[in-house]
Amino acid sequence: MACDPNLLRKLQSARELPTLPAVLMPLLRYLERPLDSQDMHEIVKLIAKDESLAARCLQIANSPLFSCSREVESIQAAVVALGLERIHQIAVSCSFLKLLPSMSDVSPSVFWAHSLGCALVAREFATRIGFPDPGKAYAAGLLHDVGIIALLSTAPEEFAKSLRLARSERMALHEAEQKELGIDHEEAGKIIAQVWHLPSDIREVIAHHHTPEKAAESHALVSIVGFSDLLCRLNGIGYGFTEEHQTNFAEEPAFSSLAGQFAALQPFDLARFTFETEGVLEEVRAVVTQVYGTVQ
Amino acid sequence: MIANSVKAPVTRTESYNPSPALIQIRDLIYKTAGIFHSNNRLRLLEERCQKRVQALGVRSLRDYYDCLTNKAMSRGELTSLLNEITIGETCFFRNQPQLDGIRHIVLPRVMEAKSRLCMRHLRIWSAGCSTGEEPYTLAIILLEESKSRLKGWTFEVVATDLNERSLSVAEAGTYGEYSVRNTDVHLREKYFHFQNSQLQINPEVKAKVRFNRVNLSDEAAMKALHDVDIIFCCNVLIYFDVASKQRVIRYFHSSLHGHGYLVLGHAESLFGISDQFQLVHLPSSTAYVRHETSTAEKEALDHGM
Repeated sequence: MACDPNLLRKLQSARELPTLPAVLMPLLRYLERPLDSQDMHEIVKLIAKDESLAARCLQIANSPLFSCSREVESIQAAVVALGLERIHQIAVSCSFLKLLPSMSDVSPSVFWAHSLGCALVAREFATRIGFPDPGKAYAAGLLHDVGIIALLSTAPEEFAKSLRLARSERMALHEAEQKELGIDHEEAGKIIAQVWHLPSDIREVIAHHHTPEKAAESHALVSIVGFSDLLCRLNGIGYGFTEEHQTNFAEEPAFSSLAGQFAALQPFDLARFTFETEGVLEEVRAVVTQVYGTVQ
Repeated sequence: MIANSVKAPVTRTESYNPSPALIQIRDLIYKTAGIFHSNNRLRLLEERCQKRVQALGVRSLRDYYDCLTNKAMSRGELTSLLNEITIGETCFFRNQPQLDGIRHIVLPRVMEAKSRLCMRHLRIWSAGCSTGEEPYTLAIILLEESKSRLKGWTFEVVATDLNERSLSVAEAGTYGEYSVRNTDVHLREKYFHFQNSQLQINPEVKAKVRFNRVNLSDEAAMKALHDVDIIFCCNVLIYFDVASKQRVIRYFHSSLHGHGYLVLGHAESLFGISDQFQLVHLPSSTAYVRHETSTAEKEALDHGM
């Protein structure tokens, strides 16, 4: 089915799209830096700028899951208590929450859990294969599905329909979107990424993570995120339903093309990496449950 | 300020820091047995190691790691640890995501391949079937499919084990409630009946399973098993050393049809063991598909051997 011209107009008009929370881009730029050059004071300053975000971080720092021996009263103490890594995840999760409109039949936490899972897996995979910028892979993983935010904001009813179709047919969401909307979250994401002036390599990830062979410049980055996206969906951190297919990564463009570029992939213990991912995704569920209350 | 008033008894995943010795043990188990404990299962692994630490009377996990790497005692101790790891794991419908993947994804693919060969019979092999929960589970799944997907098809489940005591339990088909803890109530009612306050598997299921005593290292016995579509071999290969694993995998390869699948236990891997099978991902589980021509065979062919 062809995309409704009205929907395209809506997507292309910045007015119809949600605005990027002010704190999100600086947070993400910060995240792209190597872990050892990250400075606690900078992130404290960033979080403190956004009052509701600061309050949420403190609430989570004081929640039973992370409970510290004494009450955490300042952002600085929260960073010390939870660690920089966890504070990043919470801060980005909370600012993303503002972007995701509430839906009648799906919890936004599902999308967030998938994005965070994809980011963590992408960074680990990037590190493992020797990709020079694992922080970039993390940021790209977080943002790869912003096209879903665009579709949710401009065509909530139709998007819900495609989600129902994907769930009942147990098919990939982007394929169901094409059937119901005539456009998928890759294309919609390309538009919102331009509106938001996201960096060009991240724009490519958003536009091609299901079709990495189409990426013109950041081919490795797009493939790393594409692989991580698929692995998360296969391991129960997808869009709240099980996609019913068998995947042979050796035949997946995202994986096979990387194998030609990175010596660490020849051979690569994908079984072990998959089992390790189960542990990572368990952690994602814990974080997201703290931020959203639940992963549905 | 948000008060820290509620202190629910929640598992504090954050406070668990596995010791370096535990990580070394995890990696050693993976390297020698081929079963991996992801971070969310490390606490469980530690508990199991602690049991062995106590049994041996060693002081720490560090010392226990030395026992596992000490040539004189490593193989025997590894077996004891693997027994701790797999203890109590056996039950009907043990790994639901894996069984769902087999039923909804693998089965249709196998049937399609079989149809192309004009064959309408399936042979599933439970290799190392222990006390029978796995082969009966598979028979139940296939019986459930027999009125829909498998209409007009016949099937059999071949179940083998080395241990005669396990096999006689399996053949008796009598189980306690604990064995069916993961089994849907309607399946329990449909395929089991109570007998002397125990659960007895129904004759309809029993009729589909054929038990045999087979040593997986016995070439002649292994060669007698052929035309198999799917092999289940869960928590068995972990006990074998690399050379024995490779031998068994070779036998499995020749027992299977070209479209055949090899299914291992949760978090078991063939990495570094064989390239005769290729890893595939199913939702929340993995399986191996038979490689038509292995690299070794191809090289042999290339060299005109």
